[in-house]
Amino acid sequence: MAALIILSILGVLVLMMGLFHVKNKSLLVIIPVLLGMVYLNSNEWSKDAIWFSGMLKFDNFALAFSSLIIVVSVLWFILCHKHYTENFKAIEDTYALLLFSLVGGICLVSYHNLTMLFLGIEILSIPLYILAGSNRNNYLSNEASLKYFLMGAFASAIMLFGIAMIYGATNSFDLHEISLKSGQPYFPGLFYTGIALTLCGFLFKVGAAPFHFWVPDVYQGSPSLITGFMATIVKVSAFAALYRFLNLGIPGLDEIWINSIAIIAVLTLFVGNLSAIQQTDFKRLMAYSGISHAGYMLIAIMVNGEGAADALFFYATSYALTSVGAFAIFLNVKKYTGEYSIESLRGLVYSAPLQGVCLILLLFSMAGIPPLGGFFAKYFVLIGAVKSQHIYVVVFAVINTVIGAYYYLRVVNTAIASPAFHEKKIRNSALYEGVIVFVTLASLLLGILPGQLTGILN
Amino acid sequence: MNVLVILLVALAGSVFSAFLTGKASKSLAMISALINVALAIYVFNSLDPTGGLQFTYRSNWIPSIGAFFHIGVDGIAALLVLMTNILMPVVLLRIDSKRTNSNIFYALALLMQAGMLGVFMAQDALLFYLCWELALIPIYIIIFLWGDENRVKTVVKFFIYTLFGSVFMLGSILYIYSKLPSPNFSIDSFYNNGLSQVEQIWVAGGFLLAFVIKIPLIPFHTWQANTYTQAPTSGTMLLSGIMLKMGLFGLLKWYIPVTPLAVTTLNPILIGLALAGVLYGGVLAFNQKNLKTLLAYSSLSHVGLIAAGILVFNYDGLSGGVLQMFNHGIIVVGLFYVADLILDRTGTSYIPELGGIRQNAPALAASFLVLTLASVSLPLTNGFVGEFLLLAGIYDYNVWAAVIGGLTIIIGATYMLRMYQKTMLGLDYRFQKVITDLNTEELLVLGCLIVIILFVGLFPNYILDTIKPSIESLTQITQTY
Repeated sequence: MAALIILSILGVLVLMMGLFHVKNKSLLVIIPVLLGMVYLNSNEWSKDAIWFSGMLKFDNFALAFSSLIIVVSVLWFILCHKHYTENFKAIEDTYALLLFSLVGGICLVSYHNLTMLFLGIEILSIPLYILAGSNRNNYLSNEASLKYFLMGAFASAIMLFGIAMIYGATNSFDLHEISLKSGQPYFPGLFYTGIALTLCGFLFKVGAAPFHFWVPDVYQGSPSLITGFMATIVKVSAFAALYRFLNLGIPGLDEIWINSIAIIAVLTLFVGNLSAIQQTDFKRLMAYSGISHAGYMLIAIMVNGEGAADALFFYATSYALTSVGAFAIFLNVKKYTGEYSIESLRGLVYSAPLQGVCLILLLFSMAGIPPLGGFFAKYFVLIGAVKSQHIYVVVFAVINTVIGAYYYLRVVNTAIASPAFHEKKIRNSALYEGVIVFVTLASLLLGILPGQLTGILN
Repeated sequence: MNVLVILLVALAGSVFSAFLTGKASKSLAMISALINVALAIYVFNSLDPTGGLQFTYRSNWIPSIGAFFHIGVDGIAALLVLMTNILMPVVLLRIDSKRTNSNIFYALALLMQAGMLGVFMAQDALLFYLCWELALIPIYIIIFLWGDENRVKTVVKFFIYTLFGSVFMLGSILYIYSKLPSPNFSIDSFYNNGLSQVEQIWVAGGFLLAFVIKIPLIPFHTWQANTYTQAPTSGTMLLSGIMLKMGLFGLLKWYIPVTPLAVTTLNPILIGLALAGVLYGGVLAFNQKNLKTLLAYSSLSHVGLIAAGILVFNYDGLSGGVLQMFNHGIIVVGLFYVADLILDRTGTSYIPELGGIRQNAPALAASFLVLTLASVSLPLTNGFVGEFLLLAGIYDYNVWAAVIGGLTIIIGATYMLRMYQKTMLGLDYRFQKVITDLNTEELLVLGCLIVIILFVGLFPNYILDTIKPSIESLTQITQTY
């Protein structure tokens, strides 16, 4: 809880620091504070603190996910620093917007009231609408910003409409109250329509098919760092919010919701993976790969029983860490080659051995090949689906793992092919490479000793 | 002592040789491989045949889902560990330390060794799957980096094909796991899974897809010949000598005992496929012009017979199958070793361009002859004992199956001897330079392999006695149903 308040204050503070042109120093404030937040979160463990008369509930689920997004944003800030201090005069506004967005993310993972859900989504998204267009002189960036804003506003409106209907049917915004009445709502038709509309809003935010059309364009057009931020923080917090909505709001999910989520999950997997095969642009590839990962996480949500929260948390952790690493390496290569294509990664293991090897490991992890974190992420999701008797979903998911491996393998092939695209050495600061090595080791560790991160949310 | 030491030696060799370069890297890799040979011989020799699982190591791995890091060997696994470790130095010696990034090659080969050893040792289904996949990544990178011109398409096909099989195996493992009364992955609980026959058939389908693609049985073999031909020879040795044994081992250790109720339904089909592969591989080998492709198809044929022997699941068939897995590893690696020597010396492995090598390289020709004869199962060589037992086992199952299986020896003799004649005999007018004979290192390697071939041919009981109790306990598992 303290995290939320302190981060909001920190955002305003960082904005003010911009007045004094201390751009190299602001990070020295931001990172210790963020790490302090993780520590505060760990102190609140298993206390189930309720705040603001039931608006927010910091249960273990909320604490785990907020710690995850805070840690991931620390990594982003380190990567941002290098990039922005080289290219821009003023960066405090960007940092402040990222921090505000993070505040929205924390609201999303901890809300216990649907008004807070809506506020969280807006706080998370509005800074990103701005940041997506922050590369002002680039048409694609402007397009991305406009598209994201229009589509996002539309989705938020639909979700708000859904929330209003749920209120109408249950007379409450509170998740607990709703769950009590979800068996016999006053107006079942209104209630179910409300849930359907709210789900549409969620599916838009997580980029699930058929609400995924904005994802590739926005990812491609936005500045790469912001793309990475969207791909990790936004997706993870939106998934946590969706899980909370279904798990706390309508527990004992009706067959009809389970089946519709199952269909959407399978559809998302196929759309994401089959579209990814043809991509030549790295960011578009990551966009479609992100869509397919959303499919796997939807399976975890569909299971929604014992171990589902753990599976979702493990998947989100593994996904967020590998994405940070892949984007960091790509950004660094792009600085040298000026290219956005996958081809620009050719021969990376020769021009930058450390980053090349890390990229290969990260890609294998994304493809779900043991002994890397991505394998166990998929494993925990699938075991839940098997236990809840969704064998068909598992078969489709397993087929998609193979399709996924195919396009990740293409990137691996590019990275180890010779001759190198950029013949001179590709380097970066020790801190920057430190982040890459950190996430790679983390996903290796998740694959060798997954036991450390499972069972903590039960 | 437990078998974890063997795994750790391979892993340590892999890590450290990655950080050295050239000759130093090679020496370190060789040292690690030779230590492992000594350890494997020690394990095999001091194994108590009737003692069940030995040299075990067990520790908690993922307690929340009941997965243990549990490894150990019985007679069968010890034999395969021995085979893997004996073959590794041969593989490593054929990697040229002057090649660019050769240190990575050594590291990957040893990493793959660790994965394959893990497959043979694992007593936990999840660990088994993990090692199964672990063995795949290194060989993929090896072929991609050091293979021939058309490797990219081939190797991607190979990877996707094998991954496709193994993810379905994962599906089956998950299904059994979710049905167990107390969810865990230990092999004993998997053996007593209590699934109905219909469930077992589906589960067996998932396991089999992984195994038959790896072995491979027709019609899942289309990745094989191209991959063997395009891979660098050390990679081909790893694939044909050791990796395909993972599939055969899977059949006898995971498929039949885990899903015994599916066996009566599925085995006739599988035995049919295996025997079809025997004929198909033999006939195709007959007309190959490339030495490596010919050996690939001959391997397809021989392995089909081993698979058939394992699938009939009687004592003769099983012991012949296990023994012949060992023998096939030794022989096929020897043959690919010689094929690579020929390629090195003449610059081609295209058979019509070869001939008359015997004139200047009698020792090379002589060792090649022994390997060829072992491959066609001449008495006194190890191939004879293995194939004889296999055919005896298949004969018990069905006479006509044995007749078809027996054809492998006749067809095999024809194409292997023809191949020998075309490459070694005749005049060497074709070559610009004189073909040099074996040097000390090559003589030593081939000498060792030939000693093993003759030793097993003369004293097969040395191996058969050790694996006998393990095989009997396997046959008992299915008889209780």
